[in-house]
This record gives sequence, C-alpha cells and structure tokens, in this order.
Amino acid sequence: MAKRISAIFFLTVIFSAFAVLCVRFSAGGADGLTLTLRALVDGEVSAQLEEAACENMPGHSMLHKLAVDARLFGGSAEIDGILVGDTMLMKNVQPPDDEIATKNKQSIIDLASFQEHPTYVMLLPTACAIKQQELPEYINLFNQRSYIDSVYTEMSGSVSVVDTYLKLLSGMEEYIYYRTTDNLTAKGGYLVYEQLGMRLGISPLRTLDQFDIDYSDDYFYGELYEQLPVDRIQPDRVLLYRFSKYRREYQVTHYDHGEARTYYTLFPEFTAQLSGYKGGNELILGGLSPVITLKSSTSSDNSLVIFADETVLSYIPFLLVHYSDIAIIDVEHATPEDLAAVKLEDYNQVLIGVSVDTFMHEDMHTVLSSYLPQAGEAAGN
Amino acid sequence: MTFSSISFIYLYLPLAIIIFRLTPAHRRVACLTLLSWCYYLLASVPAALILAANCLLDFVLLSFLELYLARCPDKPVGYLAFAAKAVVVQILVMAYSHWSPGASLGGFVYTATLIGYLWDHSRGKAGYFRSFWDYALFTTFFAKSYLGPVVRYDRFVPQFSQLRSSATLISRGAVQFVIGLAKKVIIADGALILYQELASLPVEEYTFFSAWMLVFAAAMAIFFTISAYGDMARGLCSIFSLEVPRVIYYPYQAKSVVECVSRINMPLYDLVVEIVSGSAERIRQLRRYRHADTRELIAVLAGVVVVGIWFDPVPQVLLWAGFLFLMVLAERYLYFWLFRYIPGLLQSAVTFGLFLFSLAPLVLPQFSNTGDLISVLLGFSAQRMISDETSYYLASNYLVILLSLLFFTSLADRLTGFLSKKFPVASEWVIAVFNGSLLILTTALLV
Repeated sequence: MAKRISAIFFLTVIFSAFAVLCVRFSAGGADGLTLTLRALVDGEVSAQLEEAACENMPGHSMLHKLAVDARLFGGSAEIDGILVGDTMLMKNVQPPDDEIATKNKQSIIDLASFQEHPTYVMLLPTACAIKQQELPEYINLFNQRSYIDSVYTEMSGSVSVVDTYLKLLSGMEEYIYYRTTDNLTAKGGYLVYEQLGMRLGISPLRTLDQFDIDYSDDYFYGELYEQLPVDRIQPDRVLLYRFSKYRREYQVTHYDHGEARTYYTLFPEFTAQLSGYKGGNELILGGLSPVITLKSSTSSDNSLVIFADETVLSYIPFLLVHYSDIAIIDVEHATPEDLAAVKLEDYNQVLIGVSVDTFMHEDMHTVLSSYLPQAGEAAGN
Repeated sequence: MTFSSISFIYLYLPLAIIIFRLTPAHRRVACLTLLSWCYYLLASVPAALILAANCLLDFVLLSFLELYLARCPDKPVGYLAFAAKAVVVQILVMAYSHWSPGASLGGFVYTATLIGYLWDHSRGKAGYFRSFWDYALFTTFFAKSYLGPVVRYDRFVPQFSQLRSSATLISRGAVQFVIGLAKKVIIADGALILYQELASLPVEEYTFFSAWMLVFAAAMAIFFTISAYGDMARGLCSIFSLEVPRVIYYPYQAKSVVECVSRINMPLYDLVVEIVSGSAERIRQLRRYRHADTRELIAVLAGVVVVGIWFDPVPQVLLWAGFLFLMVLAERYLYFWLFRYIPGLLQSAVTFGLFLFSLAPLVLPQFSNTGDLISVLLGFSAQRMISDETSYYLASNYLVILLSLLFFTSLADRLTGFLSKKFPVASEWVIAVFNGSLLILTTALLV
C-alpha cells in the first residue's frame, strides 16, 4: 500500500507540475528558449530548458527556501558561493583570474606613468576577509591580505597605494559591511575615508560629529539574501551622513549610455520609489552609473577622478567635503561614449579604488586603457 | 538533461509517460525507442547521432552475421569480428568524447549489451532480431544510458511483447526512481563535495584521519552514484513496464575483495567473467575462491578492469585495477584461509578497509602524489591524527557522512523490513510520507 500511495503522490506531483509549467511556458515563461539546430547541438536548448523549468517551477521560492534550510541543517557554511555568517551573508571571494588581474595591474601602472597627476590605488578587502569572526574558524578562505600586499609591492614606485585593511579590521565588530549585500556601509566608508584622506593629503579630516546621520525610511534585503534567504539574517538599513558644519550645494550628473540626468542632492531618496531600485547604497548619489560627475560649492579647487566600483558610494559623501569636482568612472561598465564626459587633464588627482574582488575578476583594462595615448590615437584614426 | 534535473523529472518524464500510455500496445517498442532518442538528443546531440548510426549499422551487420553463420555455423570468427568492431568503435567514441564531452553517453552500455548479445547468441541463448525497433530498444533504451544495467537478451527482449500498463510496476518504479534521485542529490553529490574538498588539500597536509576520510568519501561517492543511477534506471524501466536487474548490491559488506568488485556492477562483471572464464556457473564460486584456477583469476582481472573503465575511463583506472588484483591474489593465496576462523562482520570490515586502500591511486588529482598518500594511509608519515581543516570539512558535511554510514550497508533495508513486519500499517504510512518528503526535498535541492 505504501508503494501505491507513494506512486500516486509522485505521479500527482509530476503531472501537476508539468501542467503548471506548460501553462506558464505558453504564457511566456519560456521566452528565452532558443530553438535552433545550432543551439540544440551546443547543448544550449537543454540548459535553457532547465533554467526555464527551474524559474517557472510552482512554489519556486518556497522550494528554494527549503533547500537553503536543508543545506544549513546539513552543516554547510557556504552555499552557492555565499558564506553564511552568524549575523550576515558574505560573498566568498575566489582566487584571482591571473590573466585579468595581470592586465588590470598593468593598465593601472600604464595609466599612472602616462599622466602627470598623482595616482593612487586602493584595493578594498571584502566582508569575508574582515568579518571573519562571523565564520567558522577553519573555513578555507582566499587570503586577501597577502594578495593586496603582493599587488602593492609590485606597483610600488609607479603609484601611491592606500592600505585600508588594518583600518577596516579595527572596525570588524561594527556595522561596516551590509548584512545582505556585498558592499561597505557608510560607517565602513568613513573608515576608508580616514585612511584614504591621509594618503590624498587632505587636512584636516572631518570628524563624524560634523555630519548629521539619517536613516533611510525602509529596511531592505540585498542581492545576497535574494540568493540565499536565511531566516536569522536581519535586513539592512542605509545610513546617510550629511555634512552639517558648512552649507554645501551639490550637483550630481549621471551619464549612462548617452543619457544624462542631474540631481541637486547627494541622497536622492525619491529614487527608492522608482522601479529598479535595489536598496543599499543606491540611495547615495542615486546609485552608480557608468560616469558620474559631482560638483560641490566648496572653496577648495581640488578635483579628483575615481575609477571605481560600487564601493565608492560608501565613502564618497565624506570625500566630497574636500573637493569641488569629482568624477566617478565605473571601471566595469563605462563605455567610450560615457567617458567623453571626463577628461583626465581637468582633474588634479587620480584614484583607482575598487574591491579586491573587482580587481581580480572584472575587466578594468578596457576602461583604463581608453585614457592611454595609443587608445586615443587609435580612436582618432 | 540528466535524470536528476528538473526539466527531466517535470517535463520530459510526464510527457514521455503520456505519449507511451496513449500509444497502442503493438507500437510501444518503437515509441519507447523514439522517446529514448529524443532524450539523447536533448542530453547530447553527438551521443544521439553516434548511437543512432551505430544502432542502424549494427542491425544491418547482424543480418550479414546471420548469412555468414548459415554458411559456416561452427566458426566463431563472425562473432569475434563483430565484437572487435564494437570495441574499436567504443574506443574511438571515448577518445572523441575528450573533445566533445557527453558524446559517449550510452555508448559503453550499448557496446556491453551488444557483446553480451553476441555471447548469448553464440551459446544459443539468444535469437535473431526480426524488428529494428526491438534491437534499438534493447541496446539504446534511455533509462539505462548512464550506468546500465547491462541487460541480457533472454531476460529483457521477451518483455517487449507485454508492454502493458501495470499499477504494480508503476508504483514500484515511482518509488525506486524517487529513492534513486534522493540518493544522487542528497548523498552522492554531498559525498562528492566532501571528497573534492579533502582532495583539494595539499598532500603534505594530510593526516592519518583525513587520508582515510578522503578514500572513504571517494568510496561513498562511487557507491551512491552507481546505486542512485541503478535505482533510477530500474524505476524508469518499471514505469515503462520493463524489468531490469540490479546494478549494485552493497559491495562494502562483501566478505572478500573479489566479491566486493563483483557487486559494484553485477550484470557487467558477470558478463565479463562469464565470457573470459567460459562458464556462467562458476561465477558465484569464484567470489569465494572455490576451485579458482589461473584462467578464472584472469577472468576476475578482466572483470575488475572493465568495471573500473565502465565507471571512469581514465588511465589511473588500469593502475587501480592492477592494485586491486594484487590484493585479490594476496587474498587468494596468502590469507583467505584465515577467513574461515574469523566472524563474518570482521571479514567484511577487513575487505572494506582493503577496498578503501585500493582507491589510493584514483583519488588524488595529481597521480604523482599517490606514494605519499599510501604512506599516510599506512600511518608512516602523518604527523597528527586529525587536522583543523579536516575537522571543519567533516563538521560541515556531517549529515552526508551520517546518511552514508546509515545507507551504505543493507542495515536500513533490514530495519525497514523488520518494522514492516512488526507494525505493518504504521510503517506503510511512514514509508509513504518518507517517500513523498524525499521527492519534495530533492526537488527543492534541484531548483
């Protein structure tokens, strides 16, 4: 009888799911499926079918949650490349892609040697390197500290390096990284600013009591939580540090694939109501665009170009206090069209500030080399 | 597409069942063959093309063989040439699969089934195929595409005339498939992850305990992968009204090394030993070394080699087979007489330990480190019993280890049987709920 009951259950489940999948596929759930002979031979049809079936599976989110709970119960501390800490989720940064990392390193050295302004490099450790107290003691992690040191050693003499590792480590017990997304909070950004400011020659550095602290209206769960919904992880909240000692006017212009939009505040909170809002540091500057130019009504005539990734959003509100002009260039997504908005010679300092993960695994060379003479000549030709 | 994929379980399988049930009984063999080829097309187009071409060619060649045997009935050359062609094609396909992964899907089972058929035919135990669809289903049925079982003509082909719906077969098939799926997704994949984590440690960091855990994890990954695919194959066959033999039967509770190997893939091992030793009757005796002569020991060696290559066609397998055969010889000539005086449980424990030890040449990514690993396994060069990293890996995979220990012997089966006898009604419901939960959990882990 047990076999009969099990069989009836099995057949009911597979035929019900089959019916639901058929309905969802006919309603556009399998739009990404490429039914060509080439795709079939390459195995893409099978892979796309599997992906579409998983996405359209009835009770997908409930099943996903069940799988996560089951894996955690089984003792896993890392699931799908995400480390599950006591109170937070962290991306497990993998060893470098040597080809990409070497190219990125060479591009930075070439950029520094090409232009006259002082160039600074800052590789920011990610949460899994700093918040190790959250993780099991003997978990096998890539050693970011020694990697950063080795890269800095190879670059010494060509650029000035900014070592934030120990500074961030000093705040390891504080809320310096978001719990559900892989980025620094504004509190972490302040620690970075303290270290970076000293290297950039900023004096005096602003203390935290010169800023008003606002909290964003809503809590949010970041992309790590979406991939790995773990019950015990609490949502995040964005802290907004507004410089209050002197009045400042700001102009923030985003350049995104030929389109430009301007905000007159550092924290355009209304963007949280727009579709596509992902939470986290998106509230700061309105998120990261391929190119952003910032103008501040300060008496200083310092200017700075930052080749950056999303980590820049954590420390930019502090840095902007000291600069009248800052340009932020997204090292991964800026296109030649966007880069036309920024000329290096108009700025008197250059900073390459990215996370170690970006440096090791993302192509920065394409954007950085756009500012090298041969690229310019080639473009001219 | 594999058996343990959402698209197979929730799209291909229900569709195939519907089509199969709607097809008139006398067309079901052709229907199952075409469904099999559709499966191969979705899993690997090169594999589908190779299998279909091979199948067509061999069916034609079988007609020529019939003509040849009608003229020269006593000459085995025709069989030998046919078998040699099948082996050469299989070697070429395996070589090609290095450039096109997946191209060898179903190839090994096809070749072994064909050779088994030729052997049975030469002994008068199999007739000629009059229908191409019969031959195609016999050799290329998708349910046995991954790890078999290798089926024999006299047990499999007669079922083709009775492909009718049977609630009992469907029930049995559904349960077997779900259990196989759960073994693959929950235990085999977990054991493989544990093995990969331990194998990633530098060999100089191995401790006595971590080295043994490495071979244990590899042994569990091997057992549960084969067992899972075997169960899924049997389950799918039952769903489509066919019955096939077990692939694996608890090899790690065998009482001799040779019995252990023979249980890893029973149909294949039996076929190889039968062909090489020339006798089906003495296979069981060989497992206990009764009356084993040189020819039969060579048959054992052939069985070990073929079972090894069947599981993973890499060069190290030959070394593993040689290593294991040395153990077989030692067992046969040095210490097997001792087994008469020790309890069965201890015999099984010694055999399991020896089998784990034999895996040393297979488990490390760099073959050159095998000597160091053997040295640690024997306790010669390990500095500590256990390291912190090993403790962490074990802690983070504790459930997989517990489940492996629970299910790698027939203990769970016996316990279920005992409970079914004592509490028939309650155990029926518990088993039904357990199977249902397994399906939900494995689906969750696959999504």
